[in-house]
Amino acid sequence: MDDVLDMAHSELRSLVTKAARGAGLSWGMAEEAGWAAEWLARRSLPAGKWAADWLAEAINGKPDPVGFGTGLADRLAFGDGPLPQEDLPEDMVAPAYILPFLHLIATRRGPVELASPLGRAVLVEADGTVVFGPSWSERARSWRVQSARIRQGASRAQVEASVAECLERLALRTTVPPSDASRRNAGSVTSDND
Amino acid sequence: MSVAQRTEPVVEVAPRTPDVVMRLSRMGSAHPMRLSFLRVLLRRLENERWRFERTLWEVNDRGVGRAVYRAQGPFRTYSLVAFAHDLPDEMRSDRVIATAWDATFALVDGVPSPADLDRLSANVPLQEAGRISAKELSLSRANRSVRLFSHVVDRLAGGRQPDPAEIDAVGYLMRTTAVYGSGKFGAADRDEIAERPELTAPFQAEMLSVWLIRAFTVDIAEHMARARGGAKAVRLDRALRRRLGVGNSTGLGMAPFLVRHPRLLNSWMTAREMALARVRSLPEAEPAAVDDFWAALEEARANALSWRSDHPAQMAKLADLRGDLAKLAQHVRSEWNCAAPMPWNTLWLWGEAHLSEEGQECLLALLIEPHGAVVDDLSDALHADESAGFAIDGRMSIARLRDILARDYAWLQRFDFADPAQVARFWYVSEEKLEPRLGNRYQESGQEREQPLGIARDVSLLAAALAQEAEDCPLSAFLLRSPEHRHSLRRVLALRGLPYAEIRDNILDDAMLPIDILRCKLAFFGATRFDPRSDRWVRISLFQGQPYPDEMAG
Repeated sequence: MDDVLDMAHSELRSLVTKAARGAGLSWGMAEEAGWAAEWLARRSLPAGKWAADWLAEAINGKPDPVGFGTGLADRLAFGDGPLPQEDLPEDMVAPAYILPFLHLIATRRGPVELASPLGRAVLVEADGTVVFGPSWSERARSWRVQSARIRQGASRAQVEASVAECLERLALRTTVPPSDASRRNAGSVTSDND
Repeated sequence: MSVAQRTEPVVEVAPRTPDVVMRLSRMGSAHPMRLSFLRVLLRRLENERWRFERTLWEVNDRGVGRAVYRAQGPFRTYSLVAFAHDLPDEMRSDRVIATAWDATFALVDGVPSPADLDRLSANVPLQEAGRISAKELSLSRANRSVRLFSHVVDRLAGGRQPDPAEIDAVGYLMRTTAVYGSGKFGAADRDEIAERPELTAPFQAEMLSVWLIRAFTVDIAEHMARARGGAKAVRLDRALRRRLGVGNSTGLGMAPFLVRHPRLLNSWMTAREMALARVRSLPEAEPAAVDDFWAALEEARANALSWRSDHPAQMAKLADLRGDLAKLAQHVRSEWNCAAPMPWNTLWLWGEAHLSEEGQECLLALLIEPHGAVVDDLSDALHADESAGFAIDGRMSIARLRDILARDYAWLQRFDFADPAQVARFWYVSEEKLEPRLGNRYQESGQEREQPLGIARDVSLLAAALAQEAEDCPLSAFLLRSPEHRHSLRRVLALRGLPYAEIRDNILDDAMLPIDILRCKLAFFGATRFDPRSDRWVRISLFQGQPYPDEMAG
């Protein structure tokens, strides 16, 4: 098993900036990559590993999450109102590197999510909180960026249908399967139509 | 009256313009002053009555072992952990290529536990090859001045004091060759500690490290003298001890900092220029301030006389400085009317007309020296939020950006980047040693890996690219097509309203002297005895003439 380096956030940022430049990004994009790495690391997300993942693809010219994220933030971070929906490049590696840019957008335009036909992959709130959803994966799968629904008050819990279904299936495992005996003993021994 | 109670001074004189201040030749004439970082640190330590103690001294007769120095403030404690080594002469090198040093250090946040000491002893002597943790605020090392260290130990061991001339000729027993902080090699991130009042101003943890190292350098010399001389040995005379600082040997690695931290540079320069403007705006000269000015002038003259350098550029500057200070003293004595209205401004204007840049920048330091009550609060504004301005508003039009460039970067018109001499240099990081270096584009390979430090050239390229774009084109569309300009464009937008953020010169020019950048930064540190060893390598002294921990009231 690898040893784990305990790095300062600024140290990781500097490292990822240089690595991104080394992978062929422009200096400006490399700065964005370093900034995004620090943003993720501050949320205890594996920013270093994800950077290595997407840089390995970017060096071969494949679409990268920082390029997509900056393009998005450049256009949308300072605007108002709901976001137009944007599709992510299919199969993009380490899509979490888009999250810092979604945060830039969310600070001015409200919560933003990456959603797939299977449900929410991730939600980024205006305060920078990240909530991963059930369809999160380490590659983008038919994902799009869109404004997230405004959450209700804390007295109500917002649960995706797929999540509820999943939970309900598990909950059923605390129940006993049907049987004649069970049915027989389920009620009064006399008629209720009295 | 405390600084906190003081009302904002009236500033009738405008600060100097960035076109005057931010030129390399002037930045390369900067002098330490009372807003320099080591002065800020010492004022705080004194005002808050910090206490200092050497809590561990485990050093053998060969001078090998470890020590801990504790600095205790009103709210927090910091500890310098020192490791003393027996370094063969042939391994002594000030360059980053060195792998062993006479002494190595870490500044610990709090009091180190025995486990911390063990961890540090396994890592700190390795420096870049080791790791420190979020409990550490800096990592550093120092090498002896072999000549002076031996002289001092020999004399003390024999029961005699060292020759003052020898002390003055070198000025330090050890010189640091790197002082790392701010997340380097695993140390605590700057923003984890930046909110602490004692560490808000720049480089305060590093300055505290160096100041405590200075005490260690004397302790280790006295220890070795005792080991050699036994009962015959004496301690270093306190007045002689004051004349010792900590040397520092530094090279190009320091130069990119000012380019990469423009918001910080703006804060430093703004504070200094505002200090000068405040003093120049004073309606009259208090007699005590005039006396203090004279004292500072005499000290500066003595310092200029004892300041030695063999580097031709610095020798010329020293000659200018000595001549200017003599001229200044003569003028103050015989012509300056300190009873006239705004007398400090009158003196400054005379200086601008009659002194070289070297003399003018020294006069700046002299003018603010007696005016702590007027300027010291500016030390609260030396820091900067460097994360501000990172996001780019891609809705902005090309036309708007062109306007900003025309307003803030008009100084670029002085350059012609089609002239090969003006782009002759390129900054790069060596693969072998991971240190910044400066190459010649026409003689050396590697320019394809150039660092983005040629701001003047890069912003000019941005301006040229913008000239091809439609005025109403949004920046987001431009950046999508031209990501190579992103770093320059961000910089231009982020530095709006920060007049002193950019060095208004071309640091790719064949005639550029990196030591000008080094001197500016080192002057803000509070360095004296600027002594270039080449146009990209310099030795200086820190804390010379300043008190030691055991002289602080506590």
